[in-house]
Amino acid sequence: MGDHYLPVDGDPYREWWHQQFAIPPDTLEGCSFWQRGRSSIWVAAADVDPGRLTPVDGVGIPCLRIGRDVWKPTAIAAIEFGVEACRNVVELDTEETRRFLDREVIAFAADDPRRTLPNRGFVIARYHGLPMGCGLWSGGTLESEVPKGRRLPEIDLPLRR
Amino acid sequence: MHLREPGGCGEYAADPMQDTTQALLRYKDLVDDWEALVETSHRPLPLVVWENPLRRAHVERLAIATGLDRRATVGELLASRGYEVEPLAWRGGAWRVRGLDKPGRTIEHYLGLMHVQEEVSLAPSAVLGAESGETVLDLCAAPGGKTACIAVGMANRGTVVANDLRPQRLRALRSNCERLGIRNVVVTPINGTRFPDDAGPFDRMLLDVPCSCEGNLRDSRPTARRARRNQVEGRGGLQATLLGRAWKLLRPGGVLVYSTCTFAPEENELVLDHALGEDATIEPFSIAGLRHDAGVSHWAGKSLRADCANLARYWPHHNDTGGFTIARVRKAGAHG
Repeated sequence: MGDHYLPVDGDPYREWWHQQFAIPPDTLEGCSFWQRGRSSIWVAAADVDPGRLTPVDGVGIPCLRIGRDVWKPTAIAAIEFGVEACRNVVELDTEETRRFLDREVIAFAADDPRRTLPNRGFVIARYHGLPMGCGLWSGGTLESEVPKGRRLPEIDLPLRR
Repeated sequence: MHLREPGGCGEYAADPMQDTTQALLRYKDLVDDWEALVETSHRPLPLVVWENPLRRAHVERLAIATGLDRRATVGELLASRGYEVEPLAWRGGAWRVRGLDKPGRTIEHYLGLMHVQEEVSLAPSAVLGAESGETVLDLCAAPGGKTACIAVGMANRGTVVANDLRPQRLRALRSNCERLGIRNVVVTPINGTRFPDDAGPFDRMLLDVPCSCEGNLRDSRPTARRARRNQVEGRGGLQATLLGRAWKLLRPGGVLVYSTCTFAPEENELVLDHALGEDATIEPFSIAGLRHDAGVSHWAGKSLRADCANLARYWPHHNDTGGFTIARVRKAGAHG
């Protein structure tokens, strides 16, 4: 099934993005959803059509991993949809963003107001409102989930703070 | 078929400057100002970036955080940081940028707000003119810059099948499309010479064939030089085979754009002359602000089909770009 992409009902995934990050449902309304293998969900244009092509090596962009109990957003989908996220978002300063892009674990001080996030779960990390990827929040620490191939600690971050 | 003899412009000396001059010698009679061509070819290429309209919300947020008007462009964002930015003469939403040594380290690149691409390689997608909702095949697509231009131009609607045989280059294509948030691309790793019949018909096609890359003489990256050295034998036979296969997949009335980053008629006009039949017309076109020369109708004592003159040859010294050759071919039959 590895190289097969099957069209799937997108409602559970639209609903998940809405529940998890309060992303308006209409943001994902004009999309189709595709499943590759057991656990990989991809989001594509509504009218995209791979026809009878085989093998296929990608339909749209990877969106979610659903293989485990907790679904995990991909970094690329976090960037794609994260501008509109209103829930489970952690805003990072310049130095934290650099460390996030270096795939580090960032610990927040006990009195940091951002510690009001839930105990454990995936969050979208943002820099001045710009989504930089997703991370695993766990009791006051943020574990960067930036893929190794997108690691970029030397990024030029132009904004202050 | 072997359209191009080994040796000639394919043999390169140890000195890169001498390489370049030797490579261009055979085109002395084709070009208006050979000295200018050689001089330009010894200079590095300008860096060009284009703004990704699919990321408008991100650009707007960065503009506001930067203290600029929310309608600011990527060009204005880069200019606000001190880079020297000049809009392209022939295409909106793209700029030449001076002083930006490592564009891959910018936040604009990381977030997919912009893509770095050689200026003249933006032309094939403009010539193709794909429209939202159409079905397009990019048969030799990696590393995906032209695919991205086509897909973005279709406003994330319809289907662009981006095919390439080479796995490592396909990874680069996927990575580029994902970074740019392109959702209307289907990636396939199929040998283009055996692309299945039942995959078509396609409304439009880009056939940017593997070539000897002479037009990349200004590209100083080691990969570009290596690519050239590996292709000294020429690719005429492969190019003609790919064109023959692509032609079968194009719908009647459809448009195929054939392009190479090489000057050799053996890889351009001779391939089209050999592979195209009565049901094909090479159409004239021009891009305002981007000068081109006509294609050749005679080469090495051989007369070619008359519409080969409608090819566009982009010489580096005319627009301060890399070299490129583009043909727009229409298949006979119903339009629309």
